[in-house]
Amino acid sequence: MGLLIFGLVIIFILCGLPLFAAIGIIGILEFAISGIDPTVVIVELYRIASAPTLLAIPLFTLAGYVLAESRAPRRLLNLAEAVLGWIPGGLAIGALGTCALFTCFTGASGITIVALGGLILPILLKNNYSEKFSMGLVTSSGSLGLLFPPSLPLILYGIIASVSIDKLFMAGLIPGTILILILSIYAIRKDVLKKEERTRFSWTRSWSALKSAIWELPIPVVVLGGIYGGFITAVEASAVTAFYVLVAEFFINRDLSLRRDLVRIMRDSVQLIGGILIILSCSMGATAYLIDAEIPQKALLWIQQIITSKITFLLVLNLFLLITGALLDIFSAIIIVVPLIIPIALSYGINPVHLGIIFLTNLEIGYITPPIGLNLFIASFRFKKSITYLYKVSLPFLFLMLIALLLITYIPQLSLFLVGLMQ
Amino acid sequence: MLSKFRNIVERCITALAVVLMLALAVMSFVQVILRNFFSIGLNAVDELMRNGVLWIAFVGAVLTTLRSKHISIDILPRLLKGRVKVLLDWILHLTVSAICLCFTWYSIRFIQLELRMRSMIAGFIPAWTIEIILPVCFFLLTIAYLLRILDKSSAETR
Repeated sequence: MGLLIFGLVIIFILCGLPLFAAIGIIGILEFAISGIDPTVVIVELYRIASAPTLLAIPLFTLAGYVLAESRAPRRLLNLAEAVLGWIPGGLAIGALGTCALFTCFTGASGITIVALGGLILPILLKNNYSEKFSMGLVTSSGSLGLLFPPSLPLILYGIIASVSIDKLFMAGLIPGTILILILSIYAIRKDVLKKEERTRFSWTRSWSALKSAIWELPIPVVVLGGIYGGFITAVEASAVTAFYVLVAEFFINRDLSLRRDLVRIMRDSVQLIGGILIILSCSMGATAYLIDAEIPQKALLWIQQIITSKITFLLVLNLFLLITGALLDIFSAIIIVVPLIIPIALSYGINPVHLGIIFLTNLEIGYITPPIGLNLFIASFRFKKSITYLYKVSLPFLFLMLIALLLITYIPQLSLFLVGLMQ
Repeated sequence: MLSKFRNIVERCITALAVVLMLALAVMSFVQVILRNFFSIGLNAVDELMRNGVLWIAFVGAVLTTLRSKHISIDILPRLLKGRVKVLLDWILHLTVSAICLCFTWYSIRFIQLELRMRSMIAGFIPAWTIEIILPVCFFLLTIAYLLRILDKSSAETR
């Protein structure tokens, strides 16, 4: 009976039933069948009001939206162009960094491509990068940066897996850098091979670009320095960032006006937060049922019969997560899959912090995995190019990111080294 | 008439969303300042803010329903066209609406439970006054999805 319901809901999900409703009804029906009052589902749902770290999600989302709507991306790219434009690949690296910054605030919800893509593409083209390369870069960097603080998906993983968020932020640092580094090397190679001259470095231009971005530059310092220095927690960092960004963009830079933009930006960010958190809320009941019915343990026994070594398990996990990442958006994927995977991964001796990094790297790559990676569709829509064209241009990036994924998966020390230093 | 009603609801919900979000941003910042510079930790405010997140989540969910689309895997609907697609949309909206009604019902039971237990939030606020957002929003979701069907059918006949 339980399985029948499950199958039916899966069919509905494939037909486009919103995930919150689908997961919610699974919880209610399963409890009802096992003779427990489904009011339990609401009791479980209300537990999200007792998770202290959840506060970071609305605050960082708000900060991300305000930044994306202001002229901050333009100023930062301008700075990157002025300061890095003369170095081989410098501009592309600056673009990668800027994308990473915005993605870690907004959680790869496509906002990076929509908001930044239109700015980055012309700058890259103007500096003689090929259209294929530029388009591939913008598409794949729409999910880059998920491993850096204050990445919302990382916070969500920490909440669901009950892993310290500060540790996760520490763990993501080296793997996130490796991803950017590998793509940067590719960009440098592309840039060195082309014949056109790069723009010359100019002190006056760099200085004026630096001056205009002076209010945005402290943000990464506050977030990264504050968290890594142990001065503030992730939640406190989110409070400071949100407040700072509101003051900087509405009152100091005056990019945005209280009358025209405030309501719109607040509404959009509340909408994104609601879309994510309602799935989390509605899944609390279903997750409680899964644990009650010992489903992860049963799955574990079954998997242990088939897979005996840790290495094979990691490989299967990678494949499974890549598919998940291509099918689901990152937040739903974390909410649904993490409670199932955690006990299984633990039994293979995988550190939950390392698992989190593997998880996010996979989902990050899943975004540009054909045929249905979400960012491919968003980019196709945004740049009015065919989806097959985007498959083609993002392929080299996909390949490079897969190499990084293998490194991150099979060398746990990359993730755990800094965490070890912290203790 | 229908669209007028829809607009009023959307405006109220948007206003609520903006107020909640602003309050959260300001309050959390003040908390950080108080805690780190004056060593004052107001636990009641922390608890209120956590409940504020719950409110934002549900208000946001209603807004999403009114203004755009909830997160779903829409591989199949993308392939469909014409009548079949309209029919599928009908079935989906009715299903979501029924599920939300179901949630409304159990949240009301939850509130009744809390009333009986006289639970408090932050030590002085009756819990149900904050938790009431659950049945209210689930009911709004129920209606919003029904409205979508009516919207669609009126578009069809035009």
